[in-house]
Amino acid sequence: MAKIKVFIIIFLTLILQGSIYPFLNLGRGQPDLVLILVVCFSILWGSKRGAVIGVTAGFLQDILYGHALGLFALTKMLTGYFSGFTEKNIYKDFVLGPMIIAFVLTFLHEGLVFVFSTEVMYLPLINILHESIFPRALYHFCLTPFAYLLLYFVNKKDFFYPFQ
Amino acid sequence: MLTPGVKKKKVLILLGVILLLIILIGFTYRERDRLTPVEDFFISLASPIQEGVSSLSIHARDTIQVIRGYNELAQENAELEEELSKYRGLSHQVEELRQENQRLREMLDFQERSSYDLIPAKVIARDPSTWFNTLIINKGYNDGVARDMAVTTKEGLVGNVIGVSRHASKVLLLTDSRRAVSGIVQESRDMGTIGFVEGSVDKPGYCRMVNISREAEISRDDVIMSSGLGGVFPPGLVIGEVMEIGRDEYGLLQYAIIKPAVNFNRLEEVFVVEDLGEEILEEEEFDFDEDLNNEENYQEETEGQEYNGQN
Repeated sequence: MAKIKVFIIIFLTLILQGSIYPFLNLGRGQPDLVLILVVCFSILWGSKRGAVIGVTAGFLQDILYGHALGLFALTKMLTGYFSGFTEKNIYKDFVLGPMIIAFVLTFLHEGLVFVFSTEVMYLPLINILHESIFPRALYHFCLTPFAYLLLYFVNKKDFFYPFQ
Repeated sequence: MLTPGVKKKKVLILLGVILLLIILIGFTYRERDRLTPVEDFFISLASPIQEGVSSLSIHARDTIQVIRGYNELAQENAELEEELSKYRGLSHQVEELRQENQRLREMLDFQERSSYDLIPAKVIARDPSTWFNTLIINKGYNDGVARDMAVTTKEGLVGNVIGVSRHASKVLLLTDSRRAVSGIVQESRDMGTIGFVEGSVDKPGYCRMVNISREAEISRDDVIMSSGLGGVFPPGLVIGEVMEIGRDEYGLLQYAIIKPAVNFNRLEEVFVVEDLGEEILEEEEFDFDEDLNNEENYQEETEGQEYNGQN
């Protein structure tokens, strides 16, 4: 049941994210709400589940919006895997930790998309960092507390039982 | 605590999955005629929800804008009324010109250009990543949409269809760096000014027209139209306006930065061009050939004259 709940949350978030872009777009792109979810779930449940949730969310994104299957599955799986390493090393009830992790892992995620999408040949990296990745990371830093606190409390209430 | 054996197994599984995903990316990166049944299922499942959420969000955005801009509305209304009266006068002139154009076309035995079949569609979602410029429309192969069909609005060219499911399709926008359209400068119209318009990587949201010959007459504010070469995009659709012109790194060719005519952030309704109209492409090609033939005939004539003159 927990797996279905996680799947539905990710699916609906992806749909929302694609369809309410007039509200999310603040001039320099829009946030990746699904990436924030993957990072939050990984911090709560660790690398293995983080990677599985990442690959599922990425596949859904590839299917709904992407061009090549597997691109976002790969980048989100690795992001989920690496953010899960912090599971045992941060205070889970202190929101600054997840905010910093989401900020840092945005660079990893966007960097991986940059490399795996073969855009690397054409794009000037400094411009991309300044114009796209940094504003997005900042956006994720600001939005993570809302997503994390919500997931943290519903997790505590055993909403995702047997996931703990 | 994990034993080294378990750790090694975990890493091996991860590497295996990474390898599989890279292979999958390689296989699916090429353009495909049809989506897989799994993709078709999820897109068909998501499209009604996307349509509902999208129309709600557009409605909410418009309401907020009306509330915000209430004071500006009266002023805008007055300006628009003034403009409307100006256009009413112009419309008579346009009608005169249209009739004259039709008469001239009949005299020259030309076919009407606008013989495209258009499928109206609504934009229901956009790619949330910043890297790719794709959007989802609410028409699929059940409605007659197929891969590579051009997508336009009344303002100009939007992009083309890259993936089709039963009731929804993915459209690659003009501003995506993977896109290339053959464009022509409206003013000069000679073949020398044809270049490829592609998404600009330095300036997201803008396009870049490359491979323009050094002698081409192109200047700021010139309008760039689709040339029709390539067969995907119909000719005569506005792509955008020239913002900036420069030389390539070797100084042999020119490039231009183009501001697209379509505001991609506010796209709501689009048209899929169902039928390109073979006559139009033939007509374009015929013109080109005829130009070449005329040039050759002219050269032959002038050579003949020179020859006669020498005798």
